Amino acid sequence: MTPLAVKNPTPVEQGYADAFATLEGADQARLDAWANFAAVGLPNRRVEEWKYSDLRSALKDPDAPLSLNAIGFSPAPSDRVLLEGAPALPMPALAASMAGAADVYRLDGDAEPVWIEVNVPEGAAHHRVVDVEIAPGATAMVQETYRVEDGAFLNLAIRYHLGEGATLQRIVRQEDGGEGVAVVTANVTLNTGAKLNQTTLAFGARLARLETHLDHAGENSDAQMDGAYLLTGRRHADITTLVSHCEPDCATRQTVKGVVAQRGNGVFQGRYLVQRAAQGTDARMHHDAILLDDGAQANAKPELLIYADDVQCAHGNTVGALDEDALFYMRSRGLPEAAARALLIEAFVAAAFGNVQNDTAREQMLEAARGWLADPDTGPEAAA
Amino acid sequence: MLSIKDLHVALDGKEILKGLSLDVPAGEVHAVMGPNGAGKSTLSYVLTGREGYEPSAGDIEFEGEVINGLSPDERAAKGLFLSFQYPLELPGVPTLTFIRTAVNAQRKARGEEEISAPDFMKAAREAAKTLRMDSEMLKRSLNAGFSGGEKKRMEIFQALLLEPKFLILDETDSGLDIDALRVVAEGVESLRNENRGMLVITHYQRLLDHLSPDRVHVLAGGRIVDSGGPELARELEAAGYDKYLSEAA
Ligand SMILES: Nc1ncnc2c1ncn2[C@@H]1O[C@H](COP(=O)(O)OP(=O)(O)OP(=O)(O)O)[C@@H](O)[C@H]1O
Ligand SMILES: [Mg+2]
Repeated sequence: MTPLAVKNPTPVEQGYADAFATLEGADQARLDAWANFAAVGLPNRRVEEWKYSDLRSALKDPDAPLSLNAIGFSPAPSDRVLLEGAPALPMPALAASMAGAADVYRLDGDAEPVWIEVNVPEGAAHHRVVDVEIAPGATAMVQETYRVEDGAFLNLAIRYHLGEGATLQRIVRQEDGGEGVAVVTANVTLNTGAKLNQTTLAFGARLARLETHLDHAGENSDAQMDGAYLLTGRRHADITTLVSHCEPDCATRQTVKGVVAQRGNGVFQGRYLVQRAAQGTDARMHHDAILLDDGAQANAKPELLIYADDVQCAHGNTVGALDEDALFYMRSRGLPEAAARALLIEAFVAAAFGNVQNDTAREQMLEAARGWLADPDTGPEAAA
Repeated sequence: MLSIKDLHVALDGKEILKGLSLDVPAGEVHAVMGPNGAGKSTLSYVLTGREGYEPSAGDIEFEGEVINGLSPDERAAKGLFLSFQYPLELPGVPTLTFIRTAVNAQRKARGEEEISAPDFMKAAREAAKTLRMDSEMLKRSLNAGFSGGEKKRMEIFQALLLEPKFLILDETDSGLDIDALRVVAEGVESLRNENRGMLVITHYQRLLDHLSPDRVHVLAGGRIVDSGGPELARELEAAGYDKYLSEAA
């Protein structure tokens, strides 16, 4: 059977179609996954959800060889299983059709912290599906680190399923990706009383998109979804979160901070969908970006879609320059300009890490932000 | 010590200081009084090197050196300190971290050794005691959510730790209650010595009662239009600035 073709394919899309066509014995889920991808192809700026992040034009190399061992797990996953059903969204669907199977973690109360570290080498591509099941009442911590070298492409789909009363601390680091492309799509389901505490730190790439879909699927579930992006050069980072409140008395809070220098481009998209049944929802979204140079950009798209009446929903969004009055105040006390700027930016960004429960992890994120601030080659003071 | 000669400054094309001259010798405290909008805060920003406040003419000499072209941090390292009329809030910047960073940046600029953490903490405790400040306040972000009076006290706390050679106090008294004013004035007074100069901008006699200035100047129409002893402040309190305003106009 010939797989469904992508309409008017780009060379990259055609490359995937060819690769898929040569597969033998693909099971139904894999065929469905390909069909879901092929129906829309690589998202581009004419797709509303991707209007600030044109993935189709960022991906240029049709011959990028698949790099299968770009990923490191610690500890090893519990299992590797064939897909059960196909993801609907195009990028997870592409990951599923290319990977064909998922690495599965089943974490119970005694689980040690999990590290997932991906390094996609220059010019290579990596597609992966990871499934994390967290048992009812269990507490888990998962740290994901993504690095793409020049010309590399990472497309990872990760699914988290939290049982009743389970807690997940999720930490995502997208390391400076130069001319690479990284797309990470997470789907998180919270059952009754479950808690997600997520912090994302992105340094950008030619295009980096860290997307999280969150379903409050049980009453009294709670989510803190913070993040920061720090960008220089022409790097692009997109933090997109789509939160669905389907059950009563759930809470979502978000603090996202962006610092953009030179010709960097930051994107924050946040959507809260509060369904009619989700009475008592408490959802708050805050995004603030500082632009350090004339060519720097930050695009924010907050969206509240509210169909319940007894809810508290708020969003705040600011995009501005570094506070010159505060800088003068600090300098008048003796801080040289660079030190004053760094301290001010650090304080601004640190607000995105305040909810990280693990001290080591929080300190590492702060250190990474400080390192970026101080780096003469890639930091905000680097020559454009 | 501080010598201002024929200073002209324009903001957005409007001349605010129009040939201001003033001398404050070491060891003296001088007060500057004047109506709202006379240019007192402007003067404080010009002296400390704020961007946009560069003089179009005239010189600022500090300890015999023209400092017109120096950056705010270079002036701070030379020993200039401004207590702001409206101190800024720095949310997320821990108070003591900030002050220690400032102390060490100044020391580094002067080629001195950094202050050790224990020495700094000791000095901070002493300064807090002098100013009767709650140690809880020092654990917060600098000025974040502070009341107007608390911010003013925090300015003098910083001065005590930075030990500047010359202080410019821009309405440090406003926003302080009667007890706080006395405590803050004592803090300022403790810095007074024969090597240190001060320029105290104020609208009220209250602070001057505590500090007893050597000289009082009236700033109106962009110039110093009158100077005298402490009695001048009391006359102004009674008669206001009418006579200077008609002269300046
Ligand atoms: N950026 C600016 N552009 C133009 N005019 C300005 C600017 N900043 C201040 N001014 C004007 O300069 C004048 C002097 O202001 P300044 O703040 O120095 O007064 P002041 O003497 O400190 O007054 P107060 O007693 O109310 O504190 C005022 O008329 C003010 O409106
Ligand atoms: Mg003023």
